[in-house]
Amino acid sequence: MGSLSSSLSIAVQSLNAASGSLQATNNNIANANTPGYTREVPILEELAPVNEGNFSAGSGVDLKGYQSVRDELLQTQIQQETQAQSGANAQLASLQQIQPTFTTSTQDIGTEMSALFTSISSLSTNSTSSTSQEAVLTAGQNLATAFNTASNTLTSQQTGLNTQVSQDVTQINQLTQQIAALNPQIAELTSSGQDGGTLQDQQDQLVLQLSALTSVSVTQSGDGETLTTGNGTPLVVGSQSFSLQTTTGSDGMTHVLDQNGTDITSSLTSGDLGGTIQTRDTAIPGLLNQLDTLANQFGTAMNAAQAKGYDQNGNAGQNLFTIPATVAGSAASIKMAISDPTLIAASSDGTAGSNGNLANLSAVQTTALPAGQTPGNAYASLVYQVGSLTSNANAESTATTSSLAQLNTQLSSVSGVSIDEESANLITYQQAYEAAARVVTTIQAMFTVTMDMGTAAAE
Amino acid sequence: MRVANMLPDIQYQMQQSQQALATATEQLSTGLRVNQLSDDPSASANMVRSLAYSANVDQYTSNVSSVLPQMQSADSAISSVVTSLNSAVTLGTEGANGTETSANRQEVASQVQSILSSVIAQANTSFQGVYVFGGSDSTTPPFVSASTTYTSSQGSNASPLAATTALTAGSVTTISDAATGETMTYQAAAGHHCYLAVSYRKCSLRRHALRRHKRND
Repeated sequence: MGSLSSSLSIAVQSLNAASGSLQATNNNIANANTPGYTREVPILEELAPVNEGNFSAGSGVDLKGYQSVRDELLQTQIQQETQAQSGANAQLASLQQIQPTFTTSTQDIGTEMSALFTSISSLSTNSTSSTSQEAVLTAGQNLATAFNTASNTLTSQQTGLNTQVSQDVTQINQLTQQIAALNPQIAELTSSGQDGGTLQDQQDQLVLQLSALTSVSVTQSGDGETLTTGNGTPLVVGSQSFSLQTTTGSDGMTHVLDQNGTDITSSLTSGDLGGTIQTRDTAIPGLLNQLDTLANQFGTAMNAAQAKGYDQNGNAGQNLFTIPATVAGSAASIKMAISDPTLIAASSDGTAGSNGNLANLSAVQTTALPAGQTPGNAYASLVYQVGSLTSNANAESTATTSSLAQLNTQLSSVSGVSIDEESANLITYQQAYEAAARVVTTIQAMFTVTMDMGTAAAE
Repeated sequence: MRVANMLPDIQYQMQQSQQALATATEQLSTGLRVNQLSDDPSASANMVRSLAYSANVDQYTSNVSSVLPQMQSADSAISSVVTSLNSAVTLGTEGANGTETSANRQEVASQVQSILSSVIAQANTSFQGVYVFGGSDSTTPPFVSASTTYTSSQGSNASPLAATTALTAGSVTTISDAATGETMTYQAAAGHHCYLAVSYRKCSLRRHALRRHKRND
């Protein structure tokens, strides 16, 4: 038999439970559009029943707390997908800026090379015509300029990416500090069995931002989350964060060091930082090497063909192009070696009107260079390389974006706030509160009756 | 599946549609399927090669049109040289006739002289500053008058034969070309007066096209 006061206490507990649940609903509705917010559900538990003789009576409801509805597996997947997407986007942005230099236009290498050979062909109809000779020199100069421009585009991209690396590292350090600051607070909550709640949401958002920058692997431990980069360099351990540093290496590029000074640049492969480093240290140097090889071997072949003949003054042909001794840097520094039109070695026998050696100069277009392809084909391969790198980065970016959208939909299905649902909950808890309040009123009436028992008012 | 918020999904789908629309609009306005290298890398590479081939072929066509007039002028020069030589042969045949008077022969000689000059001029045809028959040495005239000397029993370069001189029978006149080293000797037959030796004084071809009815080499 429950007494009135125990009934009253049950009613009061249910009032508390209802108003507490309403509080959770209120919070959910307020944060419906907050990024990273996981909805809270009130944990209501029935209190242990009281045994009285043959029957047991319930003891009411207890609002134990609030539980954030999380799916940690989904969150981990989203972090990884974000890394991949950021990496692909970083590469794509860089490559899209390189693309126009190799796209067929009036000044790209392919067009200028072709113009050089057609001007040589035109000179062959009249090898003493000064107009035709100057046209050959102009075409040669334009080709050298095209090589220089292409090389400069690639190297200036690398410089821009160096700045990007420094900025990314600064951001990473800021984020790791913030995450480390949250760890002890969350550890306090979880050690007492509660859910991390808002603090955990904040930390998850920070980790997601960090994932966009570099590869992060998260492990839970007693004193909060431990974060390391993909290859094990610690970023956050407990309440301590470890900063990364940058330094300019011997190759002029910005290198990333961990807190001990070890160079970890080559081990960073995903996220914006990884994508930037990959483009700067692998993709661009590959293209630059192909370009330099082409410039160097083409210049050498033309100089050799020039040397086989005689110029208009009867002397042996001089070098047409000036190229450095090493292959690296050839495209940046190739330029014309002659400016006097009569020095073009058109003659094959020393007489001014002969055009026999022009055949040797024209033959450079169809003879394979030491690298294995004719100059035109070598350039076409370079164009293909640039196009396919960009196309691959584009495809990966599109695929990861689509995959990320899918994962986010799944996550919001689990953790997202549905306004409809919360509105229905409002009604539920409001009614529960009203019902509990009704119980209180009823018990109060019963108290009054009890108090009035045996007095004159009860008559 | 519990749908919490439709908006992100809707935004994503709209972005996809707009991206497709943007691509289609770009293709429509430029008229090209491949607007940047990444649209089709292998097609872009092929395009580079094809443009180079087509530029070469265009240049060959242009070369042909620029060389054609030169060939045509060479052709017309040779035609006129052939005509001139034919008329010289005719004249020579006419002159090698016993019934001709010396005045006639003098007339024939000067005609042949002028034919010679015109043939030399034709051989030195130039087209836009290039001597057409000069081979690889196209800036200097290929054919020059050679200096000839002659010696005769009745005269020489120093004291030239007059147009009216009668050569004695059996006298030998030797004409030599210093440039080519060729020589020609003429032995006067009895009773003939020969004036042609004088007219050969001024110029000659590298190869003597005319033949005399008597010739001793």
